[in-house]
Amino acid sequence: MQIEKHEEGTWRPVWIDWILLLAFAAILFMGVRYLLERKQSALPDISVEYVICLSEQKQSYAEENGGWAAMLPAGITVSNANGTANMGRVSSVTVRPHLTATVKNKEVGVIERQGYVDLYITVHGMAVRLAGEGLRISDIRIAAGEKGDFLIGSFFAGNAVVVSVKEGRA
Amino acid sequence: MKDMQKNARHHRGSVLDLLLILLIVLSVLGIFWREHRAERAKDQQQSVAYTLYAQTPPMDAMTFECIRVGDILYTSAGERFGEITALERIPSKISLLSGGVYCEGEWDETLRCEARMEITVQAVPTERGILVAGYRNTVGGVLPSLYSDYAVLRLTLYKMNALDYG
Repeated sequence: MQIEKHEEGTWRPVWIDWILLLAFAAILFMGVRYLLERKQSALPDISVEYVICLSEQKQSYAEENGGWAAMLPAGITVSNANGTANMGRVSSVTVRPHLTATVKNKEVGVIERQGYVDLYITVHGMAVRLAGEGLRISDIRIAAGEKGDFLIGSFFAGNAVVVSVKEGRA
Repeated sequence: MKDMQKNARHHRGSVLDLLLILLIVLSVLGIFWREHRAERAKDQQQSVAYTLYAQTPPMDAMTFECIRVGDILYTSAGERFGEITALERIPSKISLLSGGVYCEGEWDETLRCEARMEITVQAVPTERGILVAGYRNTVGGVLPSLYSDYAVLRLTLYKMNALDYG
């Protein structure tokens, strides 16, 4: 094999280049191997049950579309807002009246707001737990108190709040 | 003319040269990273245990069930912040203006509540507050978003050890 030589006047012999290149390739190889191992160890193995709350939803909207049970049936797929990540499947939907605070005779009370409901959607999904990074489904962190947009079937659940996260049955 | 072309060839960088430059840059970054880690380790050695008293904003009662005593809190970067050592559910206040007068009330605790907690942290005292997990200005007010196993907490710090910021 003929090795190309530097032309006269260059400041280092060719073999140093090759040794440094090999060292660089070795570092790169180790880096890629580390990333692959990390990815492999992060396969979803934890069953997670989380509840997302959609506040102040118009009841009339559901009535026009066959009711909440028809719009959000059990088993329907939940994904992120642009539909690229599978976040699990709906297991149940609870409809509660939307409550609002009001003042009557200088007394503060809580009343039901007519025509509006809060939806509590329970979702089952498979998650991974990375040290210090909590539970993740499709690389999206699932934590109670977090806000986000979801796509439930074709229903867009915008500005939903994750109100509860539990490890479920595997 | 030929000499000029030859000189230009000498000065032109090859792919190999570019790779070598990249290697050198990575090495320099590595040195800086090591120094940063060593500084952090030194800070850790000088750290003192503090107790932070913090409170959450109003939240759904279901969210409170996801927080437990003994939970380790991490920052969004995955660094350990501290441990919850005490937890208390408190009613969420309602304040409404009616006829120029503020009327006060409370939410039913089974629907909405707030959480007060004590967090034990290892911190380094500095001139401008304490340094916990790389965050300065931990002297009162809002803490960074902290993650427990199942919840994210956006806490307001109102007291630290014996110093009251309320």
